[in-house]
Amino acid sequence: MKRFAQFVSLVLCTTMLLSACGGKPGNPSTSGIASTPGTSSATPGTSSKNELKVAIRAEPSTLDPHNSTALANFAVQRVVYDTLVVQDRNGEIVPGLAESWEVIDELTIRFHLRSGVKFSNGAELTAEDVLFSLQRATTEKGSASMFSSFDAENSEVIDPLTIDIRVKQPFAAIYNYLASARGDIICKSALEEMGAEAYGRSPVGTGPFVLTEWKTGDSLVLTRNENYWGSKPAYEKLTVRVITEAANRSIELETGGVDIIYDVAANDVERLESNDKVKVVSGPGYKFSYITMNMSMAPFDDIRVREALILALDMPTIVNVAYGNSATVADSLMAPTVFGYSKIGPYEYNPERAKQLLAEAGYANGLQVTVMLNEDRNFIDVMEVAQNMWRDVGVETDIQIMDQATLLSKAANGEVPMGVTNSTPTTGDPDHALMIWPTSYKSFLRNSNTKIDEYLEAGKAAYDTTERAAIYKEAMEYMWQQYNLIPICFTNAVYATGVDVENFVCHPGNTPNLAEVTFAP
Amino acid sequence: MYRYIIKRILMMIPVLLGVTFVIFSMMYISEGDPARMILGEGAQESEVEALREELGLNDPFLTRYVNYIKGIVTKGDLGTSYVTGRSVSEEIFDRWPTTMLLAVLSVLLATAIGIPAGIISATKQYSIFDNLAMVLALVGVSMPNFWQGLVLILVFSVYLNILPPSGFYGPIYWILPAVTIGTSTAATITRMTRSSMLDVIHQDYIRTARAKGLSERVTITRHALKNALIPIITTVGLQFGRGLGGAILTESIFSIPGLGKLMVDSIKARNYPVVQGGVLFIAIAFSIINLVVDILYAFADPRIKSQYQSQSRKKKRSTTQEKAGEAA
Repeated sequence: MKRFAQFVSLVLCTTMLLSACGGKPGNPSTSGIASTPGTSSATPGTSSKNELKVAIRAEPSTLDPHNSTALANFAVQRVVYDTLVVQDRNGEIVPGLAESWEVIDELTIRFHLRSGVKFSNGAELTAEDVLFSLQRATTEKGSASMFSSFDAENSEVIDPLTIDIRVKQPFAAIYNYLASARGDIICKSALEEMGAEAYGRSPVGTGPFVLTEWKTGDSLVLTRNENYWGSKPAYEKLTVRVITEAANRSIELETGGVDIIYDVAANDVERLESNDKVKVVSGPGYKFSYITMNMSMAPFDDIRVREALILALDMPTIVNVAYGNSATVADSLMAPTVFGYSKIGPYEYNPERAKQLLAEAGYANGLQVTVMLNEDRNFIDVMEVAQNMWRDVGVETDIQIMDQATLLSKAANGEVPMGVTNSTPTTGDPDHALMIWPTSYKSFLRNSNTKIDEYLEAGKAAYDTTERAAIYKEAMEYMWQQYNLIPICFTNAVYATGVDVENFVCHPGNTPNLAEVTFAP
Repeated sequence: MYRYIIKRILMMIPVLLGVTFVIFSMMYISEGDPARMILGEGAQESEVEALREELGLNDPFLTRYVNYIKGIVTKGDLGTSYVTGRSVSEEIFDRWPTTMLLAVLSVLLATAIGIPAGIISATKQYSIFDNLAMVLALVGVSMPNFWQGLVLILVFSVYLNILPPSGFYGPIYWILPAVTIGTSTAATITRMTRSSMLDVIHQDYIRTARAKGLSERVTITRHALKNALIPIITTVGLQFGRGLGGAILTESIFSIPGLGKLMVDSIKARNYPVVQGGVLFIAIAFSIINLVVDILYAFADPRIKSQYQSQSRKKKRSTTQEKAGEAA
């Protein structure tokens, strides 16, 4: 027993020694002030901290803007690169690297670049870099699809600080697309010298931060770009940690390990709100979740079945169960944060009418449907409640949960009868938000409706914003009556910060401008 | 002995070929298109097809497998990650030190707890300590790692705020993950040590040692433990091998950038080259651990050493005889 006591003491001593060796990393204290790059006039040096630590949910695969398709990549790209134009806090387009622009004709826009802007490697920004970025955006795999309306071949450099950007057909969303992450301007000479793979790991941009270290699987460390053309950030170092588990991100914030967390889980919000050391920052997001019905498959080619499936669901109850306060019931086909949004719904809950419609369609004795979805917890919750509601009107549901890769392949092959999915149009433009609707889009919905195609083409081409908003309003009212998909909800963008974090503005698309953040003195 | 080691290393080749073939086949038949995952839902079919062609995904199974093996053998090339565009070796070696450290720490902790606890339990069979140790070992074996990890985070990070909940930046960060994995491993080692020691303690030679007047300490450590070590070494080796493969759940819970997490992310993304490279790497690590365990047997038990030596002597003798026969 004596020896056992000695052994226990040894273990305890070792544990204490290990605890003493490492210190919980604190946040070094120096100073700095608020600054909004390009718009505010703050100077660095008066904030109470000199390092901002944020936690995101996935590691960026690359920081090459034209081979990026994940939101995680965009979160970091936001502070490394700049775009020609920028969407401000109200979604308005304001100057970025281009200080002004003029419409030459309906297919050509001339951009005048700021002078004296330098990349992080010291090279000066010229129109050649912009043209190279555009050409790359239209050809590289991560951006070509989205930039297919741009005519890079016929776009031309007028002088070192002027470029004419052309589009293939009238394209009203041009500014939103140029302001998106895929519109980031890269350094031509650096990319040609380094190659795409190395550039994606050590990006050269004109943004307020420069990537200095990438600890694979763990974090990215960025330092302030001292040659930044706009107002410099208030702190010197930005550490972006990758913490996959939502619960862990919350705990890291609560225990002071990080200052800001992205993608706060719905079930953590209440706890975080009751903690006086943290603030929950949330607002309407771009994300729209919905249940699709494959229009090329029976029985979904019968509008009565589609309508019945929609009317049988009490969506406010479903959203409340699955999302709590972190989402609102979808009352349109795109989120209120997207240009051209108009409230149309939600659909009424009318199980009696649903039964009647099913009987009319020949399913009085019941109907069997298959719904495929990925492992998203919210989606699973939605389907579990929906399954019971459909059962009440005689619809039996086979829920098939699979990983995202399998689901996407099945959707591409047209093998998903019903699916649960979402879209996050990071450009904030209806052309992007409604991209699942045209006949040419082969995925979950498999729509084939020339009237919808015509509406969307007209909306794409209308430069006049009033006219454009009217087109989309009419289009969505028509689409709403087609019962092609079952809208679930618009998910809020939910972040949480430490109480000392100031000037953090909620961004609907998960790319808040971290360069604007300051700390309370 | 050296011949035995070389023979074992050569025997690893068919094992590794078998492993690569099985994992290659499994990834081949799994649903989900890597090209579609990379390009996203909105990509046109023609773009997806072009990428499939670029990645060689349209080639027949055997062509792809042969090219893969050829790449490894001739250039040591494990391929390129579909997601990041980096070489698979780089991806694995970035993560491996973390996984290795976690495996070493957890096995050290488990051994430090498990072997003494097992010995004491065996020598004081049915005592309070033995009963308590066995109950704790049962709890340790039964408790899932993910649950234990979460409880530790809640207690030590959230309520007591003395240990960080995630990351792997230094000794203080190592404690919770190492304890999470180490306790369940310790439980296994305790049970194995106890049963192995009990077998030995009742042997005649232990009674003889005691009858000779040897102290209890010498009897247990020099005579009993040494003879009971073989199953214990096997268990520790297996647990260490498992640890090198990456503790998938523990790494996820504590946000540790290890091999397990890389593998899970890669499987979800259908990142075939990384999955294949990772499995091959784990298989090599496991084979080496097994070899080391076999060599350790020889040190623990001289009978096994002489067995290895006699095998090689026998082989040498038969080769000489064959040669002599041929010469005749």
